[in-house]
Amino acid sequence: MKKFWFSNRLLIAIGLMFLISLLSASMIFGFVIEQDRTPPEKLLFDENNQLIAIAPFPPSVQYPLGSDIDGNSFFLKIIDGAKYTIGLSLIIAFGRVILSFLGGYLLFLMPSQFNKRINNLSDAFHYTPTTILTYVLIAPVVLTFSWSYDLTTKIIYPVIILILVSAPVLSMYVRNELNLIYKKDYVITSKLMGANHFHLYRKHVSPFLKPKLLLMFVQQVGQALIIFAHLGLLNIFIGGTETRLMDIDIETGEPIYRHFSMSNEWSGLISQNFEYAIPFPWMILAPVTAFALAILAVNSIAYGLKGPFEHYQSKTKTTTMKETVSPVTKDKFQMIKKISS
Amino acid sequence: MDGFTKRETFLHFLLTSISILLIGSLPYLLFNMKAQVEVLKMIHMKTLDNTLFLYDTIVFNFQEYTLHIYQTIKLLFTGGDAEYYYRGVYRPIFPELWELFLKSMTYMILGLFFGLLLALVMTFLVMYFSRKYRALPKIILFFLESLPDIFIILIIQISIIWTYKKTGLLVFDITSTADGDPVVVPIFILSLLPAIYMNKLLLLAFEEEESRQYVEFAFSKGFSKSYILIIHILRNSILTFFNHFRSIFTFLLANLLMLEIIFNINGFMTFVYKHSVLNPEILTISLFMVFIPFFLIFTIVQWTIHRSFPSGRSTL
Repeated sequence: MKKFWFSNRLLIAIGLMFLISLLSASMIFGFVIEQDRTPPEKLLFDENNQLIAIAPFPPSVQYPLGSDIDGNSFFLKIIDGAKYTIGLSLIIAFGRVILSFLGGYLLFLMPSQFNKRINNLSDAFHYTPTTILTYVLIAPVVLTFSWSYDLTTKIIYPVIILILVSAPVLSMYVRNELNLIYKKDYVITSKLMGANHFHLYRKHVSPFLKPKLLLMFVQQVGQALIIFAHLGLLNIFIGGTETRLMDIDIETGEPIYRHFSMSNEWSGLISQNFEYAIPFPWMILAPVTAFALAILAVNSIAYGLKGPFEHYQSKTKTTTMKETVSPVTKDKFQMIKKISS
Repeated sequence: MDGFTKRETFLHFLLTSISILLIGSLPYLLFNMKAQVEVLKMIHMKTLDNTLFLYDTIVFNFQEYTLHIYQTIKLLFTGGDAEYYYRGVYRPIFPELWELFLKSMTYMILGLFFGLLLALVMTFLVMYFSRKYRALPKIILFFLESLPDIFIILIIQISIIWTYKKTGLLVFDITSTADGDPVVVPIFILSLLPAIYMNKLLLLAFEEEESRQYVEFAFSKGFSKSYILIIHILRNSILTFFNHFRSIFTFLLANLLMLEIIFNINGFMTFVYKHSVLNPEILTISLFMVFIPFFLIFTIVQWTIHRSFPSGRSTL
């Protein structure tokens, strides 16, 4: 039993440590390193002043994840961007959990026939990839009609959409969990003994629901990160897209716009560098790897919380009863009826 | 059992269709689509260069929304002459979307088929280990499962380019050219990604079955492990596995989009991605194109499964 706790806690600890150190490094970066940074070098010389490389530099000791076109180290960019990406995914996951808890509770109060129909309605989400749905709802504000919305809308609106999009499915999930808990024997007993709604919830339901919601929160952080990575590939990045006129096509005369991230937010890094994927693969691999590592950390926390070993352990656990042998002696017995002699 | 009657199935179909309609017209609810598209047309026709004076907010246009839903329904039933706007011209949706749909679905179904095979093989391999030694393969699976799909796709693409650079040998096509679309690698990726996920589900179902009494009894009668795995456990796990099949399907659709973008394949999902912002009815139409055939398949499979499992361990 001890070992099982150890391994699950270890997973949670590793994941948390990774995320916390990444976030704190990112925060510190914003305050300390950013200020006294020299403009990046586009050319790299060796000790004899011989030119050895032109930006973008491939991964090396000086540039652990390579550098971008201007010679900025990707490692530093990713550290800098971590606070935006992870922070936003935490906000989104939190919003999703709160909303789906409220929605789930509301659905739970509704009759079951109604819920069946709601379930059928939300089945449409099984045929709609979330990425496409969020893209269609966010792109008009951030990309297609970007001229007519102000910066506040461009930042807050996508977050709200990302929260709302998953609400139906998650609410159904919470509702099912609530249904399972309220059907337990001790809840029914408590109800029969006259417990009111609030008491039931506080004493019997929330202890079971809280770990589920915590797990859901962690899983949703992972989901939000995946959506960010996908949206980055679709040219959307949360936290503001800046569209700049880059060039004009000589043949057709069409203006070529490129979208820039205003921060070093990871999905922005993906979308800015996607066109360099083939000539300079590290430029896209760096932010994607950052996503992969963050998602891995989040998932290991979720895996640890879920406790997959529990099932396995309880199956093989053999309970050994210690046999206590106490010698039986004559004075342990007593005659009920004392025979008077 | 009432989830499988004809009336129930019909209601399910109807409600999901309504919900698809509601989802598909959402842009009309939230944005002043007509005005915005007009502005975009002016920009495309170069009658407007300066957009600084334009300002808009998020709106709730219920009237436009219901109107667009009504128009989409009309479009769906009349069909045929639907058009979409792209860079100043209107083009007909239909033969084009249909061809792309067939192309992408071929990728998807082949991927699903090979993925299922791969998942079964992997699950059998893991199941041949005794319970003690399953930890390592499970950790590897967990690791693979946690990696986002675009990471895996990019790694595969870049490693193929890398081998090409080193050896001059292009093992497989990795991007669309005039000669045609790449075939082998996309199908490989589309089978690998869901295979990892399906393997997880199968393994859970298999282990659940493995601990049941009839399996122990079969072992004690001296049947071989392969026999028990294939004849007893596989058959009984299918039901549990199928209950998760929809989520696998959703997963695969998302993978398909990422794959088409990274491999530069002009497919169904990229078409939806490129055009459905300006033409939300494309989203609705394509959702129906995916929904109707797969809903039929799911329903048929569900009915046959229920006929072959009459005892009804179907409450899962």
